[in-house]
Amino acid sequence: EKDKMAQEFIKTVNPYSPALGIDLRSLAKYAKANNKSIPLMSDSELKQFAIR
Amino acid sequence: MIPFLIDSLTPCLKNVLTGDIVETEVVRVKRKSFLSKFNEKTGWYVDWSKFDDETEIYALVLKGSVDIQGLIALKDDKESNAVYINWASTSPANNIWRNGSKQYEGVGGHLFAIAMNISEKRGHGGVVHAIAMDKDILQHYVDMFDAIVVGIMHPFHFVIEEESAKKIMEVYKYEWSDEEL
Repeated sequence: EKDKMAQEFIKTVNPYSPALGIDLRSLAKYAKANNKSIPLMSDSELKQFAIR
Repeated sequence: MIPFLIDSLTPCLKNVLTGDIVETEVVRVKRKSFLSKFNEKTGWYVDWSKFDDETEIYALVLKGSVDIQGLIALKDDKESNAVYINWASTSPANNIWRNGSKQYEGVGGHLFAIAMNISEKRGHGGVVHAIAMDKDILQHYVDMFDAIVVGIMHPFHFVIEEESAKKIMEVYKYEWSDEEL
């Protein structure tokens, strides 16, 4: 079933295409050290990791 | 996108049928004419010649051969201080979803380790980010590799933090080839 799912998934994304503007290395370190969920972080919390 | 699970933590690849342990090398692949052989019709999910010039493609091969066991496409994502894994795929012979069996164990983990190694070389501490194919695979990486859900680019977007990356890089062993394809 997973093979079919992979083929379907490809249709929903552009596989050949991140521009996050966020320092993921620091953000991941912070999330792990503080046992925090990134999706639940507030905008102001995330802004600390914005790459200017 | 990551469409595979990690089957084992093994320094080298293991032949599932014979139990033989085989050593591997990593080769950079640049030639579009070579990459065009790896596409949907030949069992590689996407056309590997269609990635842009910013994307680096590496092949995991059996040592001393061009017997490709897996391919990974990645980008030095300086804006995120990490390497972005655009796409990774085991060879059709190692695609258990399609064949019901695989030739070698350990391919997926090696592909991750390659990306982490590039990340370390580029000054990102081994940190990589990617999108899992589905929720099950995302959870698998959370359990296996201590992946952290990011959820910014996609609900299944994850990052592997540097301490976790270091542990993974210590497991998988391979050589870097000076050759380019």
